[in-house]
Amino acid sequence: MPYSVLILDDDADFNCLLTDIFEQAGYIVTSLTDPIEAVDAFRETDYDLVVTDHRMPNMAGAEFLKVIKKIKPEVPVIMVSGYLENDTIRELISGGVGGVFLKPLNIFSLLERTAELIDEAKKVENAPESDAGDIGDASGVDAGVQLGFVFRSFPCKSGASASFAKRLYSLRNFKSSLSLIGEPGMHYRSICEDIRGFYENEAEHFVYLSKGSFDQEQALSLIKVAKQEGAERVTCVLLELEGMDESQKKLATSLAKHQGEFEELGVALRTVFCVCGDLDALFDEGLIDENLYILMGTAEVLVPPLRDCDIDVGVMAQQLVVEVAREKSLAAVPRFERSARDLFRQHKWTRNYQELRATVRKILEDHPGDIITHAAVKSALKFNEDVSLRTRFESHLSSQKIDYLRAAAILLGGDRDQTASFFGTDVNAIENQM
Amino acid sequence: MAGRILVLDDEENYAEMLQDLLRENNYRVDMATRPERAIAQLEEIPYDLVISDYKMPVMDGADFLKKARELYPNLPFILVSGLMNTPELVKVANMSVTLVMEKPLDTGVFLKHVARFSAPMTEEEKTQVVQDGQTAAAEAAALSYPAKPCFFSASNFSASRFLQRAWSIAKKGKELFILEPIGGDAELAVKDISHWRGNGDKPVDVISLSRSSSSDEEAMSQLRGVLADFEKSRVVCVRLSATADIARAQKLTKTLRCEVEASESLLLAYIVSADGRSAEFEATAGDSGVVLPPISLRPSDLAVYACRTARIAAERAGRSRCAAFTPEAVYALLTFDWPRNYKQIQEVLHAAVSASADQPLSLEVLCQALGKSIKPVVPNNRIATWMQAEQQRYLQEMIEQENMTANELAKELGLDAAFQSKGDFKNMPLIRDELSLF
Repeated sequence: MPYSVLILDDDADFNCLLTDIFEQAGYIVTSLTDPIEAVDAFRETDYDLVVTDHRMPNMAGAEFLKVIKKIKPEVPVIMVSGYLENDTIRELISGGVGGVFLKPLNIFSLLERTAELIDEAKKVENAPESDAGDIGDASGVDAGVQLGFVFRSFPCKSGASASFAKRLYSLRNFKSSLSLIGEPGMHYRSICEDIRGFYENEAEHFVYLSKGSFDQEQALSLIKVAKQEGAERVTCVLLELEGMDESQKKLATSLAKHQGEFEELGVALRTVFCVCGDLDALFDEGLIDENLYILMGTAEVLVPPLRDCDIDVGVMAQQLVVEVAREKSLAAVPRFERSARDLFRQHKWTRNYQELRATVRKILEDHPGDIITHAAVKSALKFNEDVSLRTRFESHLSSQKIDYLRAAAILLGGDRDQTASFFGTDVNAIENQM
Repeated sequence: MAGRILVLDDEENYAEMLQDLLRENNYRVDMATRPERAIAQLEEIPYDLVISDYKMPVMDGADFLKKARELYPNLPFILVSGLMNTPELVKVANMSVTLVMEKPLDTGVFLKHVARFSAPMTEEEKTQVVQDGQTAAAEAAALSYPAKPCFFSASNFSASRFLQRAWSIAKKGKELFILEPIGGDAELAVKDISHWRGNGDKPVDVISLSRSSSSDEEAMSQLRGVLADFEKSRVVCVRLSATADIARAQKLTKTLRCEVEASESLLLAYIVSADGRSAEFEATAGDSGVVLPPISLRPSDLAVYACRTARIAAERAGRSRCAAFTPEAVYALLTFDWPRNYKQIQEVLHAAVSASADQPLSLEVLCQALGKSIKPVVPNNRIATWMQAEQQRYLQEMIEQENMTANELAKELGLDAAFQSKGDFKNMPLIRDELSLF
């Protein structure tokens, strides 16, 4: 199908010449001499390209370009003129002109450029309008690295911890309560400090209540202190909930429901429940009652176990070494031998952060020195070669599984829904895994 | 998410000034002072916006624009330049330059224009970048690499371990030996290492040392040439044709060290291409050697490269949108074993993207480009199929590495069933059911 071109030039002779050139080249030409008329024609008809003069009465070519680019920015425009100021050419370029030709006219180049511009415009037009364009950046290529917010409790170099951090971030404005559910030995306090860190607002306060100290008097006094310090909202973090006694659990329920004395505090309250173990199992074992079960089930986030974050473990171990070195005012921060760090990554960490912390401390106690050797780590972990082959095998397969999930997510443009349906499962399952 | 901007100006001071200005305004910026290097950079990394000078030696702004347009017809391109005459302006106008601004620059107006094409980092992203820098520094102390690699993808655990090891060797010595699978991405890792060693965007030369002994002299003179040219990186790739040549390479490094003054900054990255692992390589290269795992064992890196190539191919074809993949194509990409690794990913995806017009890349198109058919699998079985294959591969590798019989290995792993031969692993159920479940 031949393409249609609108030609605008107030000089009748030159207009005829241009019309001839384009008709000869097989284009359907509409030729006009008045810019105002041309704007109307442009609005009503779908031209494939516009050729315009610059010096015209009523409206200069540059102005005409601006007007029609507002109407249909995708239609390419070529400026043909006897003389143009350099400033005008720059203005035309930033206005989105497709080509500039000065007289005497090189007809061959003009037609060549015309064909090029129409070709490019058609390509763009036919391109799908999906938003997959940002694959390189947004897709989670660096799922583990670029979070876009501060997170310290996990280095987030592993897929599992990165998605955990993202999920927490997305839930940071929870209304009344949030449950952090994980395996034994998790560092819930640092995780909650990260949640606090999501807010810049000074009026967000967090208070921490644990088994050893949680009673009505203490909770109320901590909240009141926070209020005096300017808190507009106080988030109460209940640590080791499953180990609390009956009266503490009752108190936790009233706190979360803002009942009794918690109602009259005159400050917004939220609760974070930190528990170890699956909610259903805790309920079945009678460790949480129905009230708590329902309260806690509204917004659950699973904290990834360390063995699912093997890259993080290496970094965390090093961070702990730095911490100990600072405490002991060591002259130099000890470093891990590479193979020693690998042992950390391969270990199962059934007691998670607690175990990691204790292990690092034990190693530094038992083996002072600048280098932490493979042997030192191995003896601390009581590494058993027979088990290690199996452990290595299993941990390799689990980490490859996660890597496959990440790979599919990357290829699907970072879309969680698509990734879930790719594996025939639901989004939550995918997020928990990653 | 903030994209990246490439700034090119032959006057280093001016390029730095622009880079600083943009960085102060929270953009992520890379800088180049040579158009030919900027082109190389464009080929590897997808950018949001290019900002270039006009008057430059060798290749002027118009030539650079032309080359950039051949790669990416729709990439926003701002010329920032001293006085340009009318013919020059007309020339660039006809090459679809996005904007021409004159020096001295009105920075307010300039930044407004930049904001049209690229998103600055949010405060959070910025903190993250700073933090990454800090964690990176902390990790560097623990024998890790200094920053996220720009060219090489180290998303998979085995790849990041490879890069850590390569970097720690590079930090210690003058030579690094890499055993790469056929068509591997080792050169990309060397480029990142070159960058980390303070060579900026200077090109990394690749020379080869062939089997004939006369080529030693030839290689030496080539290396002397590279080292005499201060526009080139002090990191040089030398391709060896076999593991047996490592001894010759070591001699070469020694000779060169004695001969070249100021050889502190020199690093020779020797790459040997070969199939499979090689005990011989590990024995000869010793502490200076590192083995690059094949791409089929690095699914997330494979995915990164596939997306990168697809995006580049789509942009080169002038499509405004990046090529997407159908789920069947995703499955096939991650199932195929890519015997020619990175090179093959590039070839296949370029072919597939240009064959698939504006449609998402389908299984049919991909298989045609691969020259092999891959049977699709229902969604529920995908992860199980992959894990089964990986389990079998890993067990076979263990038998070879640990020098055990199948039966011994099975015992060692505490498996109940008796295994007579490697073939029995094929039918072995997954060692843990969770591996195929969500």
